[in-house]
Amino acid sequence: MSLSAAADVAVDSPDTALLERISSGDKAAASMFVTRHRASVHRFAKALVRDRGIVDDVLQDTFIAALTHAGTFRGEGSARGWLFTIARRAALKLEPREQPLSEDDDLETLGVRAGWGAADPESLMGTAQTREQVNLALQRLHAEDREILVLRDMEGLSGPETAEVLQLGLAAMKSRLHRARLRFLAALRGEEFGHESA
Amino acid sequence: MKARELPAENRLVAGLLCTQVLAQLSAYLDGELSEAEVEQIRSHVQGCTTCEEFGGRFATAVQKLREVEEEVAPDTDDRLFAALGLSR
Repeated sequence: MSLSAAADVAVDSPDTALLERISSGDKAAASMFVTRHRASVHRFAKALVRDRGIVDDVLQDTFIAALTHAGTFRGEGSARGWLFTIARRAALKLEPREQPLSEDDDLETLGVRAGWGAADPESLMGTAQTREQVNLALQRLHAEDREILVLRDMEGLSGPETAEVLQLGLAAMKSRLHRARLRFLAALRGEEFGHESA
Repeated sequence: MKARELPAENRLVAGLLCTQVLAQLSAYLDGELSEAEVEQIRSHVQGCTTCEEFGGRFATAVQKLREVEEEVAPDTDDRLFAALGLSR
């Protein structure tokens, strides 16, 4: 990238402007777009697939598709939502989900697994809770739980955006999110959920 | 899976059962409830140790998720930019 080309791309350029430039072959804009979103897509990719060996493949396939089809982004939703939709498609292609998440437990049973009514020690959710513990708990969950927690709670997508990426109605998304949060809290206590694929 | 016991008391406090509070925790955290519903949950929690403690842990867990930052390893970055034919 030349210095003059780099100067033409403002650091705070909105995604829609970057995607427009990318569709015209602007590599500086592409580099900025990838730099801006790679960590989010990487986190989502880790949530989507159980095989850590293909996380990089999901990441790369996502951005190859996004840069190739930048001109198809219409700006109707956020570019992040569009990117996560591409990532999800790429991940499901590389690692199809063999079993959907079982929803056998009623809400009260999930609550009990999460510690509802139990005298859990304060330290369970204290400030010492590390990123590693959070990530370990996420790995105990089914991909359907991980993906919704990453989109809504970790990446901060709105409810409607999250529903759109997951191809769910808003009410169904809210129900799944609540159950996923309860299972996450249970996983922090050591509970195991969903092993949908090896 | 072994059978699990529900909390001994599903109490009715401030017009809400503990099970109703459990069902609305996410909606409460996400600001999706009316002022009246929020006030009712707060009143229940003030009078119910079970829901106060569990609601606090639930909120903390969600907050933990929101605070975790993602880091991409340098070699992952290198492979990504190389695959895309881009320089950083």
